Formats: sequence, C-alpha cells, structure tokens
Amino acid sequence: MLNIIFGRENVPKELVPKVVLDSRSYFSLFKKPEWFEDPFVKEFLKSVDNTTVLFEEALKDYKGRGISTTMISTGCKTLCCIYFDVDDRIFYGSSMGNNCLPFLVRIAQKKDITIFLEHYADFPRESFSLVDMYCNGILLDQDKYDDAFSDWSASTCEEGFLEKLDSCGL
Amino acid sequence: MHLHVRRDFLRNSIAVDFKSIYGTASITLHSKFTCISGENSGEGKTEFLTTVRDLLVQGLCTITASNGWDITIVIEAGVLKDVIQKEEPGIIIVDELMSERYNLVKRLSKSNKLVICVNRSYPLKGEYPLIGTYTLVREGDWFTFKDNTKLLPLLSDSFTPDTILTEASANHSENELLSVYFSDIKASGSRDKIEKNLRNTSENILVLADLGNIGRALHILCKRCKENPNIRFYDYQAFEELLFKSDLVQGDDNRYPKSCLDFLSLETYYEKALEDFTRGTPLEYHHGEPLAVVYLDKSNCKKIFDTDIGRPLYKLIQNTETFDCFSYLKSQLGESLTLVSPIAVENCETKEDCDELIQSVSSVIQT
Repeated sequence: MLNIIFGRENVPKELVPKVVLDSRSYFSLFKKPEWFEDPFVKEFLKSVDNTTVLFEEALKDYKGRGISTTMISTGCKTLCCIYFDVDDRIFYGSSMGNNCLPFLVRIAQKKDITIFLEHYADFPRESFSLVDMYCNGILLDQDKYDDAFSDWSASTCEEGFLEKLDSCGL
Repeated sequence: MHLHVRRDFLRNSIAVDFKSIYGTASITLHSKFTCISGENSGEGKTEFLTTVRDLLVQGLCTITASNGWDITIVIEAGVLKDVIQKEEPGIIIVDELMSERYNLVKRLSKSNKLVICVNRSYPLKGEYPLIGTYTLVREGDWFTFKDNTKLLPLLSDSFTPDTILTEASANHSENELLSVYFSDIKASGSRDKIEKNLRNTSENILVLADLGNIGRALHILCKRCKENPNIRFYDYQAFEELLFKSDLVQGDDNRYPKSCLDFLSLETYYEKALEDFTRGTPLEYHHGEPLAVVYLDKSNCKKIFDTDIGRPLYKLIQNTETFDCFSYLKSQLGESLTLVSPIAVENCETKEDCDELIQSVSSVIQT
C-alpha cells in the first residue's frame, strides 16, 4: 500500500518525527554494503542511473567510471532508504523522479509506505491497479490522484498557506 | 509559421554563464527563484553541480553573473544557513533546496540573495514563471540548460481553436475581456483548475494561462498536452502583460522603476506594473476587480490587441468576424453537403449565399 501526503504542512503532527526530509544525508548515515548486492537495488540503479554494481559499494557509472554509492542520484538514494526502511519512516517523495516511481510501486506491493510529495509525480496509469494508493484516506485512481494534486496545489495559493508551513516544523 | 514571440531580457534580468573546458551553459534569472528541475532522476542535476564545483577549484571553470554578483554553490545539507547570513547580495545555487526545512527557505526568500534551486518541487507557493524554469540536459562531458518555454505547445499561425479556455473565472480578467469578442469562452477559475478542464479532450483548445506564474502546474499541464496534442497555450506572461504593453496603456518595462527580480513571479510583476501605470486614470486596473469600461469598448480592440503580445488574439478576433461559409453549410446540410458541387460551395461568400444554396439543395432533396 502507498499512502501519499501532498505538502509537508499536511503531515500529521504526530508523524513529523518520522519524516526524513533529506534522504541524501540519511542514506550516507545508514547505508550498508550488502544493500547493493540486492537484485532489486541493482535493477533500479541500472534502470534509473544506468549504474552497475561491481561489488557492494563499488559501482560503475553510465560512462564506465568507478564511483562510490555517494554519487548515485538522489532518487536512487531515496529508493534505497524506502526499500530497506524498517521504522515506518516518511520519505520526501519529491526527491524521486518519474523513472523511480515504478520501483516505488513495486516496493509498495510488498509493504506499506507513506511518502509526502510537493510536485506532480506522474505515476504510470497501471500503478493504480497494481497497488492500493491512498491520499487523505481516499483510494486513488488516476483522476482522483490528479484531483488530489491539483487541490493541494491550489491550496498553496490560499491565504494562510505560508503560516501553515511555518508551523508544521518541516 | 510559429507565432511564439521570444522575450528579450526584461530590464534587470540577470544572465548566469557557466564556462568550462568542456563547454558553456547559460540561464537567465527573471525572478527571485529560478528552478532547474527534471522529470527523471539520474539526469545529472547533482552531477552538474559537483562537476562545476570541482572544475572551479581547479580553475577550469568560471561562473559569471551579468550584474557582477558573487555566485555560491551549495550542495551538502547544513551549508545553506551560513551562506544566507553573508551580508553581500549574491546568487546561490542550491541542490535539493526543498530538502531543507521551510524556515530556512523562508529566510532565503527574505534575504538579499537570488536563488537558483535544483529540485523537482517549487519553493514556497510554487509561483514561478515558465521562463524561469529550466531542464538540465547532458551533452557529452558537459551539460546544457533547456529552456522550459518549449515544454508547453504555444499558439501558432495555423491553429484555429474550437474552444478558448481561460485561467480566470467567468467574467473576470481575460475571460471578461475576451467575452466581448468570443461567444463561447470557458473559464477554469484558477491555474490549478486548468488541467481538469483539459482532461479527456481531443478538440483544438487555446488556453490563456499566466505563463509568468505557471510554477507547480507545469508538469501536469504538459501531461494534458501529450494526451491531447491539439492544446495550445497563449504566449504571454500574464493577462496583465497584455494590457500593460497595449497601445492603450503604453507600459514599458524600461520605464518601470521596479525590478522583476523583486517579485516571485512575472505575473505579480506585471500586476503591480499595470496597477502603478494606470493609477488615477480611466484605465485604472485592480487585480481581482472588474475591468474599467474602456478595456471592454470594442472600438479599442486594435489598441489592446494589435501589439507584439496581443497580435495572435487580434488575428483570431478578426477571423471570427469573417463568416465561415463552409462551416455554416456543413452545420446546416450535414451529409447532404456531399451532394453539392465544390464550385457551388466555393462561390458562397456570405450567409445569404449559403442560405440560397441550402434552400435549393433542400428543394432538390424533397423532389
């Protein structure tokens, strides 16, 4: 199951301690060499970054250069964090581009995930039938997802939005 | 021929040039925040910044701003706070700005710094001009910035809309003005409601949206344009730009004392410019209020629309004033139109000609 929250100001206060805004530093702190031997990780690194895992954290980039895991894209770092998370963390979904979303959906087929978004993440249409996606408790299809995004985007232009942001703690 | 009018630099816009041993890349800053975003991960946004930073250290790259301001690159978390505190104005290039807490983004927005942010989401209210957003593209060992103005298909010469859709609500702003000239204008009610009006469509639709504030709505609108390739956007920053630069108001960016860089979006810039220019005159404009009657007077059509900004609309207005014989015959005769010789159709120049032809065809059919 994938639960989507649009806007950091809408993350419930009791869940704020669970939020990871910056997955880059979180990744740096908690990554493990064995993560990169996982076939799923190898698959999305190849698909998103065109990066090949040679051995644990030794990678080869799209140009054939040896790189470390610190140099993979922010989207792949976020996917790693979500995939290996065991603490029900809420990650910032806007760190991931559209090419990460099919992998996010596959993760959500195996476990419940919550992310928050602040951009229009264009999920492939079939995502809505592959996994239950929710926003504000509503089961989403393509139209309802687009409505949820547009409604949130409109709410950011309303009076009081910046004050809400101010008080959300994120 | 494409009618897209490229904008010259607004007065006070700043060009930022990256020159390295691998090539050059440039962007222009038109407002407080300029965004480099991209649909996908792995496109090289962070790689570009780390490459530039490493080349700078080696003296193999320069970054210059046309106003001479200093430019600082911030890639790691935790560094931005110190950079904001520096007294001198400058330009900050920040990777993943929205991974910072809002309080820091707020401080940045109030600082004397201009910001180039590399992220997928737009800071604050997400009000950014289309010309203020870029996509980064890898080219060999280097990168170029792709101007996002080409992401939305713009109105061209040969395009005739079946529907005109305004960002504004019914009888407000551009909807109010265009209703004087077009009988069937649809109103969205806000920027974020435009996309819903474009869902599941296939007809030719002309959208009048403030490109100077397209911001967060950009990518969902791009999606709608892929789904219906017959959608076109009007090329202006804001309805207010149309009025400001009309021969009625005769506004001039070069004479307006405020800088576009003091505004978060070009829409708010033109709103303010128009209000300031027309204050105390019969043309007085207030955002959100009914237009002064002088704008709605059809005798001012040429003065309002026959300008660089308004000319495409002027042509559409002129076209609606010409009677379309073929469409009229088709709507009246339907399939029976195939019974009429093409020469007879071509000879119809007025509604009266068409009505005569319709009558004679109807009599033949009855016989």
